[in-house]
Amino acid sequence: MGAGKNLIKGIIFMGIYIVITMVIPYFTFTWIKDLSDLGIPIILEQQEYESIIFWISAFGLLISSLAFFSYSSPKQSIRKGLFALLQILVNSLYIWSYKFSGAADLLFQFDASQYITGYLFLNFQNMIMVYLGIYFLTIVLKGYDLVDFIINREKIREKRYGISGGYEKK
Amino acid sequence: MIFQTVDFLQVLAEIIGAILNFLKPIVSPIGSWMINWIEAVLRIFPKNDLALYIILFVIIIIIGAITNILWPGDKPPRFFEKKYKLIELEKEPEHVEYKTLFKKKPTEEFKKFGEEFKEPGEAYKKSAEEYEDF
Repeated sequence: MGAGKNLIKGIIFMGIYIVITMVIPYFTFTWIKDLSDLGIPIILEQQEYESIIFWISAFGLLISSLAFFSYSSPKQSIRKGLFALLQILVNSLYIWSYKFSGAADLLFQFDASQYITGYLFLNFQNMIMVYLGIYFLTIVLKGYDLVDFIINREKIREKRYGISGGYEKK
Repeated sequence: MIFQTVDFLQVLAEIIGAILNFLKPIVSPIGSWMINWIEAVLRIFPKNDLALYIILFVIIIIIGAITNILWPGDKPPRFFEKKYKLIELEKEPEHVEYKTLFKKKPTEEFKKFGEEFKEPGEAYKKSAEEYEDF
């Protein structure tokens, strides 16, 4: 694959990651900030809304740039393996930053009238912990890929450039 | 709510819930270990300074673009080319595939003979007479 195609592939995946990690969460949190359901106004009592948006933007930018580097690199190259692993690690930070920013403990306050009041507290911490445990397997897999690319570097190059046993394939 | 009205989604949610509950004793300790190192790393990351992340984003993109323009991976590196040229010189003069030796369709007998020599270089080790017999 030529340089142009590699870069286009990288740009496409960067765009996908920008949408997934930044645009969708941004609109979701903005939407739930002032959510109305069944005629009862539910106000997301989240003092750290700006903090959530900050962490989403910060790690979203890092993930997207690493995705660009990873997806624009040649197949089975060491740099692809390395940046894919870095991307997964930053992804872990991104997921945990939801808790860090306060998004894992959400408090919704109902305030319809003086008779209908209350609050709903959602704790996603355990769910995120299970998710991170599963995510660990992805880190292991990416680490394995990187080690595989380093160990079998010669074979991968022979295959990629069509050179076998000292002869060029025709 | 959509999850309560559609039966299929309800069943799917229950299956996923059951799997997660089954995996919880194994996965949760790994998750808590993950949280430990993540919290340690997050202390390093600067807060309330988005400009730094934007700069990092731009730097990674530029380095990525330059690296992949210079080394797109469709040409072998110079040292790799030199190494394989040397190997080529040390080996047999020229490799000719079986296909080019015979214009007719290969017989079953010939195919069996061919299977014995999966590596092309091995064929040269046999004498030319063996080829002529076919």
